[in-house]
Amino acid sequence: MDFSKNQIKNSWSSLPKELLIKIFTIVYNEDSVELLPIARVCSNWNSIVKNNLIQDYENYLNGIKVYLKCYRLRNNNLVLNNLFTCFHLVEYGKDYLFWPNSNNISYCSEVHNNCQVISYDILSQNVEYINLTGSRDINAPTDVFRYYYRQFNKVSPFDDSDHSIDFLRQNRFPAFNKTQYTICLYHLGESEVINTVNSSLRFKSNPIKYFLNTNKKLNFSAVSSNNKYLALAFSGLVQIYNLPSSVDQKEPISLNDLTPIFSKQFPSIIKFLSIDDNCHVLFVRSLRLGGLSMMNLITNEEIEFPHYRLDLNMNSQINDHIILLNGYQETIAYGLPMRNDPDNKEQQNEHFNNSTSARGYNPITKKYKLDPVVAPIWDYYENYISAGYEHIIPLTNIVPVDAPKCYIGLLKSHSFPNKSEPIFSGGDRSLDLVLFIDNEFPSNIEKLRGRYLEDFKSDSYNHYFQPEDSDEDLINAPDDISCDGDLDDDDYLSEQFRIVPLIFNIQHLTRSPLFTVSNDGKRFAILISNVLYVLNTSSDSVRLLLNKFQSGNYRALDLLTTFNLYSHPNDIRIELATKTSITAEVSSGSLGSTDANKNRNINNTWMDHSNIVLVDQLYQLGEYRSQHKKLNNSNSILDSDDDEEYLTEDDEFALNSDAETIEQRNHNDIVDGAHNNHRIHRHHHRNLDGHGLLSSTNEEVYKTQITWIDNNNIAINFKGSFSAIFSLEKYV
Amino acid sequence: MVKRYVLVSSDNEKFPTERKVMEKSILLKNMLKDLFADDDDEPIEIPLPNVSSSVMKFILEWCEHYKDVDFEDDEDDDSKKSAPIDEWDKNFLNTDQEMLYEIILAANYMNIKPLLNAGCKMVAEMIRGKSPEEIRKTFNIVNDFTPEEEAAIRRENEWAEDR
Repeated sequence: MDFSKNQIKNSWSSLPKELLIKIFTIVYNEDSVELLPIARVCSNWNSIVKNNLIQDYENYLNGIKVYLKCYRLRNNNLVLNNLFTCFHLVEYGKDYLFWPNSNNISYCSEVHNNCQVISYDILSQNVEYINLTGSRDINAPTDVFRYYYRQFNKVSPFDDSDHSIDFLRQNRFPAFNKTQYTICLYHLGESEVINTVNSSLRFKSNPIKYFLNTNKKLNFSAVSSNNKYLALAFSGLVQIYNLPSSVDQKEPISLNDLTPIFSKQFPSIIKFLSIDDNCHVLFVRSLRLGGLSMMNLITNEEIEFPHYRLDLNMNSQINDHIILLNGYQETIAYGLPMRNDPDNKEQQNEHFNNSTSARGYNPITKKYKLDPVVAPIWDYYENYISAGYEHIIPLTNIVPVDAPKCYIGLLKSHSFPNKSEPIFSGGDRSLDLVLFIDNEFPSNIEKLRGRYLEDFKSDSYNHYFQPEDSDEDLINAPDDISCDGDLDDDDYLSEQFRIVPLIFNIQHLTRSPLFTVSNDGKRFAILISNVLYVLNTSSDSVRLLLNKFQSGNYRALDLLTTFNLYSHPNDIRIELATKTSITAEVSSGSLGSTDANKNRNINNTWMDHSNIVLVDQLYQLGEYRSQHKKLNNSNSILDSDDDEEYLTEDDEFALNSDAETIEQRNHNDIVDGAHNNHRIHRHHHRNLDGHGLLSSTNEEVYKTQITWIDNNNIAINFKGSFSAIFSLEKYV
Repeated sequence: MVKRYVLVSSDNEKFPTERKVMEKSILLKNMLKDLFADDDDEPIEIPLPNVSSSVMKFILEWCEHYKDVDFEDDEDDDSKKSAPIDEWDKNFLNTDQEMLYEIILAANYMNIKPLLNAGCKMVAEMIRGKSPEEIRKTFNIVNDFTPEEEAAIRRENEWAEDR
């Protein structure tokens, strides 16, 4: 190798390939899109980037290179066990979880139970405690837990004695003292949790950070997405607390001993709360006319979200940058997904500390003036509302994703009349999972995001509220539709949005499949029967998807990462089975000629830990099959008298009934939990008998809840008595 | 008697060096271990025909600075790759491009991973945020694409343009 200067001058392009890859990988890791200009520098660099990195990037955008770690939480220490109705996990600090009844999640379903119900239902109704192995995988319950149960129960469920375990299996927990309501904070971060080879969870240290007790009836709670502030609603009274960053607590703290930094009495019961990262804006839905409002905690201003319906629910998405108002067959969305500025996150305020608590109105006194960088969210929504700019989508359930003006929702299958060979064998009742890309989908997303706030106060912000290519009529279309009904919803949708099908013919025998989007909007998860699908919904992914869809190059696009969840008839468990990639094939960009086929490829390229998990699960699968065989041979459970004893006429009817009936039955299950487990098992066995391991029951879906804990971790609460956390990380 | 080690550059300049300093280079470390017996009192001269004297000075200065630092073996760890460049390294490598180029090649040849990583990060920083034309200008690279090829690449990456 000659290093003479004359040759060096022009030699950067011919640096050894391995060194160029190293340099480009560093650039790629910082911001993957930076690869694109590199690829256009010269042919040598283009070849290196294209062959070594671009494909990897596209794979990542397509979501196919995601590896999975499965944290299985066993319920013998009750850490995450609860009923499906109110299972919420929230990241607290870097890796805290908040439970129960927190709504600081991306998909904010209506919370039907208050803390009282949660606590007592969990412990007094139908949670079945099964010690899966009797091993000591999970540490002995913590002192705080012991204290907690000894305080409120005569029985400690965590005695290591066999008697205790028998008790858990055979009895329901006694009810708590109903004058106490408890909030619990857990610490389940990577540093605290060992993910064992067999996917069980082991705590290095006490996962429980502290309890808050209160004797006031708590009906709603929310934590800011940076987990600094806790907002609680006691009927109509809203109080905000500063959450400590760390607590070394041995005993429950009484909420009465803490001083709220904000307090206000609303005239009616609070149905939804959300608080922004800086504790500047409180979003409130109260049970009164015009009850959807936001309150500026600094200036005391209050603005109502305009709406004409009384049944709209409110929830915040994408780091509070999108407010959704959901009602039957209508969703109103305010806002655009914005990048979270990391600097903003650090600018936490200490201005609440001196506030005093009081009933009634207690505005936060400010010593500083509003910093447009720190506190843009008020202006942000104020401008949206005053400009009357919102997205109206004629669908009940829809979630925004990271790409601006893009949503994911479910459409009736007939929206794609020409599709053939459906992925799922659904009937007339099936749905399609669809990505709605607004016709105004901006060509320059970063420009839109970056300049948005800066230009808010100037006239130029109007630019963002105007369509680039379409006329005013398009914006006004939703109103026209709702008033005149000239266009039906499907026509409106196809006019307003480019519709990219993601999954065809999803069975929805009980109700719509569960789906949720991560807080940053970059990952979407949907649970269909026993399969968890994870879709990368970042701006880049959507742009790539749209580009390929429009160019008709949809054939090779791996859309989803899928994970099969297995349930076991005796000890309920969730397993990662394998990864299945589904390729949707579309012959052209127009919806009328959509053609999809099924192409499942078992991917055996798991690396590192995933490989171990896969092996482990295959082993368990084999084990399960042998057990299943035994069950079938002996019919010991399927035909047991015990099960028949609990199988009422209602059950028989429900097992064969349509969606509404089953949903009603599930409602009955909640009310009367005593038979619930038996019903589930009965149904499950029957299902297994008919369809084998991979089949699922309607109730499994209904009894399951999925929640994004943070942008990489998704929690699944399965059948109300078993929980798992899946950690999805970029595989490089 | 302390053994003497001498590195010889491609232009035959000799650099007496401590063993501890030399061993920052995995190439030299293995060479010493495999080829030279400890009981040999003769001064050891190691020719490095791929490293010029000007670069050798830089390399040895870097090794001298870090001679008491134990670098972990897992320098390929992703977390390390993404770690920001050390401030001292940044100042040290804040030299002209030709020297940086040579240092990277020499670090690669002598298998000094921390120095190689730092050099690559410096180059990555020079690339970051630049348009193709700016990158070409920065590194004096000739655009060898035909207009058709350039248009084709632009089309391929259209989905991510203008972010």
